[in-house]
Amino acid sequence: MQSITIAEEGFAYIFKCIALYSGSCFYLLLYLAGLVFLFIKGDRKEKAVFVYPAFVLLLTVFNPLLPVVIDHFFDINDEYYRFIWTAPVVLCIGVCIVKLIFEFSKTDARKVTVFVVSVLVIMAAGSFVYSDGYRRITNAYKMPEEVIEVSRLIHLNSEVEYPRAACDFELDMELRQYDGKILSTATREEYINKLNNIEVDDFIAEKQKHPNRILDVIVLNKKDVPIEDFEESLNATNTEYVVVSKESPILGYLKKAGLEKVASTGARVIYRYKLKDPVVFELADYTGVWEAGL
Amino acid sequence: MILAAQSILLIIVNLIIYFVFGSIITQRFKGDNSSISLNIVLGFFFMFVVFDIFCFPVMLKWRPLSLLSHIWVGVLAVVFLLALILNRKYYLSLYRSFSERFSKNRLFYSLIIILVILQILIITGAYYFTLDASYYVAAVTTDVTTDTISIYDPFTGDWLDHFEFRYFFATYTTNNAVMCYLFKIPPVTYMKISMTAVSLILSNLCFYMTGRKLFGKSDNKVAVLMFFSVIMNFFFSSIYTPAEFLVTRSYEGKAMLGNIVLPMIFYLAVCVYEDSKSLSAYIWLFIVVIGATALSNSANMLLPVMIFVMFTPLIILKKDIRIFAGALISVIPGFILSLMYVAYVKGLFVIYTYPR
Repeated sequence: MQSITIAEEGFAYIFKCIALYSGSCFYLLLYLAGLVFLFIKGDRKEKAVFVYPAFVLLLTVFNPLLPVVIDHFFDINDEYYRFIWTAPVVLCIGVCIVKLIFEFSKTDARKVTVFVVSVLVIMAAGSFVYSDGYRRITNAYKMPEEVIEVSRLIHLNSEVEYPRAACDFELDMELRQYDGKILSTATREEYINKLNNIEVDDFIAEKQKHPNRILDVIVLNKKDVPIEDFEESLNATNTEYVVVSKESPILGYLKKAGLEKVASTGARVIYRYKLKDPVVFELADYTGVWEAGL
Repeated sequence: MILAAQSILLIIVNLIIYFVFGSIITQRFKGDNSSISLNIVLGFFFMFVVFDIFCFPVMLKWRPLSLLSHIWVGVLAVVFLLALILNRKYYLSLYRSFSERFSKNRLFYSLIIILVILQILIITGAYYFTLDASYYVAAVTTDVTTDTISIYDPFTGDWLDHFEFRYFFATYTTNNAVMCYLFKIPPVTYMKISMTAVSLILSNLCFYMTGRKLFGKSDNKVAVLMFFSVIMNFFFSSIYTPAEFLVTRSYEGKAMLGNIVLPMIFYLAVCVYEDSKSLSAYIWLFIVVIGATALSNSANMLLPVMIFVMFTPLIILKKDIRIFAGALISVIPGFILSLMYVAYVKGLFVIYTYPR
C-alpha cells in the first residue's frame, strides 16, 4: 500500500490498511459476523478452523502493534496488506450461508428465500469487478490491437533485430509483454516515479538522467526540455523510436528535434530518430563460458 | 483460432502433468483423502519442487532456456513412465471412485463444471490492464525471446549483471517459459489464457476439496459453497483482495498464492484436525510450502504466518506434538528464504550473471 506508511500512521496503520484493503466492500464485516455465528452455532471442526484461528489473527495480523514492530526491522509498507489474505473471508462467509440454507431453513421455500437474500447481500456488500465496463478481448494475445500494430510497424521500419523505443506509459507496459524484441528506454520504476513525481536520491537521479529526460518529454509533455538535451538523451539511450498519442501536445516538439514520422496506428504516431552513433544490440555470448566449463 | 486451440490444449496438458506428479506422492497414501482433485492440486506444487532441482543448476551456470526445456522433457518422460508402471492400479481405482460418484449425481458435477467453465470464459474473455503483468508476462517473453533464464531485464530487455534476487526462487515464470518454448506458443497467450484457466481451475478445486471436507458427502452444500465463492470472487473487489487478483491477474504467482496456496493450507489444516496422526497431511503441507516458493517471493513471508494462524489452535486443541513438529518443519523453508532475501537487500551477497 503505497499511499500510507507505518512510520506516519503508527498504531492507526492497521485500521487504515483494513479500510484501503476493503475499498467499498463490506466483506470483512460479513466475515466478522460469520465468525460470531460460527462461534455460537458452529460445530467443533468449524470452530477449530475458522473461529480460533481468527483469535490468532486478532492477536497478530490485526494487532495494531505488529506492523509497528515489524517496521523497525523490515520495510513492509507495500506488502503488509497481504497478511490479511490469511483470513479465509470468502470461505467463512460461504460456509455460513450454506449452514443458514441447509441447517437453519426448515422448508424448501425458506431455503430458496435465504439463498436469494444471500446472493443479494453478497452483491450489495461488494463492488463488481467489471463495474467500469467489461472490455472484451479481440485477439488471442489479450492485447489491444494498438500494441500488436505498433510492434509490427516498428519491426517493418527497423533494420535491426532489437530496436529500442520510448513509448507512452500504457503502451510501454504492454509492448514488452507481447514483443521481447523491442527494447524499452525506461524501466517501470522510472515511469512510475515520473508519473507520481517521486524524488529519487542524487546517485540514482544521475544514473537515470537520460531516460528521465525522455520521459519528461513523452510522458509529462514538457516542451521546456532543451532540444539538444533531448537529442543527447536519445543518443545516450540508443532510442531510435518514439511512440506517442496522436493527440499528444509534443508532436511539434518531436518534429523540431528532427524526428521523422514513419508510421501511425489508430491512436498513435511512431517517430524515428536518426541516431548519431547507433549501437546494435546483441545478446551476450556465453559460449566461451560454457566451453570453459564454468 | 490455432492459438486459441493451442492454449486450450495446454490447459489440459498442464492438468495432466500436475495429476501425474501428484499421483507419485499420493499413491503411497492411498487411503488418505486421495482423489483426482487432490492429485492435481498437490501435483502442481510437487512439480515445482522437482522443476527447481533442474532449474537452478542450469540457471546458475547461465545455460540457455532451450537446454532446460530439453532436460524438462526428459524429466517429464521419466515421471510419466514411472507413474504408468507404478500407478496403473491406483489410476484405475481413482477413475472407478470418480465415475461412481459422477454417475450418482451427474447434475451436481455438471453444474460444478459449468460454473468453472463460465468463470474461465468470463475472465479469459476480458481485457484488463495490470501493471504487474509488465513483469510477470514480460519475464516469460524475454526468456523465450533471448533463450536465456532471468539474464535480461523484463522491463527494458537490457542485460542484467546479476540475478534479481526478489524473483530468483520464483521459478514459476521460468516454468512458463519452458512450456512456451516446448509448445511454440506466444508467452502472452499462454500466460493470459492457459495459465489463467489453470489458476482458476486449481482455485476452484481447493474450494471443492475444502467443501467436501467440511460438508462430507452433501453435494448440495458443496455446490452452494462453490457458487457463493464464485460470486464473491467477482464482488470482493478492491485492488488488494485475493479475489481481485484471481479475477484480473489470475496467471500471476501472487494470485496463485492468495487463491491456491493459502486455501490449500486451510484444507490441510482441516485434514490435520480430522486426523492429526496421519503423516500424509504433514508431507503434503511441506510439499505445498516448498512448491509455493516457486510462485512468489511473498510466499516466504506469508506461509509461515498462515501456518502459525491455522495450526496454533490445532496444537492447543489436540495437544499433539506431531502437529507442532509438522508446522515447525513447514515454516523453516520460508524463514530461511526470507533471511536470504534480507541478506541480499542488505548487500551481503549477489549472484552474478557472468563468471567473476
